[in-house]
Amino acid sequence: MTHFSKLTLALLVALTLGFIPPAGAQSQDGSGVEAHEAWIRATPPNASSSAAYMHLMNYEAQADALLSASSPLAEVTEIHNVTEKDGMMHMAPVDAIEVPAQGMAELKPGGFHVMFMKLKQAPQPGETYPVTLRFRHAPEITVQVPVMMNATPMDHDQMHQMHHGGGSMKN
Amino acid sequence: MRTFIVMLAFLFLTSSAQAELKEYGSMGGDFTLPSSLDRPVSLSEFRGQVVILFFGYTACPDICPTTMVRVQQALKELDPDVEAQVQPLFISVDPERDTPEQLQGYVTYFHPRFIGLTGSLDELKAVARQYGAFFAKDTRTETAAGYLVAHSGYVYLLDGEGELRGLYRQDAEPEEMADDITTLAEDL
Repeated sequence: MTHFSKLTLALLVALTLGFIPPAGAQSQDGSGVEAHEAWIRATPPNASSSAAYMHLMNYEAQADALLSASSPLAEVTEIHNVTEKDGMMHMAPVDAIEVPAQGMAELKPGGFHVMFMKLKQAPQPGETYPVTLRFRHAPEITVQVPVMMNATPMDHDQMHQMHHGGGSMKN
Repeated sequence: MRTFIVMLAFLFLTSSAQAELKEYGSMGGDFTLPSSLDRPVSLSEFRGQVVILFFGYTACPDICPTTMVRVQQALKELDPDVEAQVQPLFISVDPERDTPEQLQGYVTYFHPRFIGLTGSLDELKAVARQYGAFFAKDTRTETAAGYLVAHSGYVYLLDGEGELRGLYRQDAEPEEMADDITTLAEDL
């Protein structure tokens, strides 16, 4: 196998695994912790709260954790978890969301999420908002997160937006 | 004896064909609550329609909108004729903050015919008890922006007689709800 084809193969494997950033994403260098497939939940005009979901990828050999988040979208931003006990859904702030070494933490509906309270405006589909994420070890990142109604594969328009939006851009 | 077996078999076959959707006995039942329509709404108004309902609150950032979107998707899956026969209802478990006006702006964002219901704490607790739902203002958790409400996350499906015929957990697919709505609509 030539050097060139090895490189091509590595590139293909990386693409398949989704580790190569989409064209246009800047300074996504596969180090620290990155946010992928992030989205903010669209809310009714008079809603007081919303949430953001994402995959946090830790490229480092040491475990890390999301400690806090902030966004101009809301006056208060916290990190929360939902737990179910005997059919009862409890939601509560957490101190940290652990991201394993060279692993991923999934923030998704019904689980860990970034919670926006006292919204300054209702996020609507098509908009994006910056969300700053602070970690225990990795440098802080700010991601531009698109607003969507939902992130199920049922909605192809939204999936399209999700894969091509600025959801994984790092500033 | 043979006739008896044939009769048994016949009973079994007909009952299994009809029992495609469960019945829940005494669970469920009528209620009348102040609503986002600016007048009290009774469940009995929707006889002859399929009713899909769940409990939640508008300040809920995760579970309730997730359920809202699942109900919205289930309704989108339906034939327009069937969809027109479905009444979606959202019952608030946060009477302190969810006024009828607050509910109106919230529920109609997800579906134009959605009706939001609220009431006194006692009224809402009574309805929740009828449906085996529960909720409690979460006094243990403080957030920087006020209190949270812990609540059960089921979606309920009622037939044209107002009888409970479907109960769905958080992980139920919208397609499953849509299929059951279509089955119930056939009997209207």
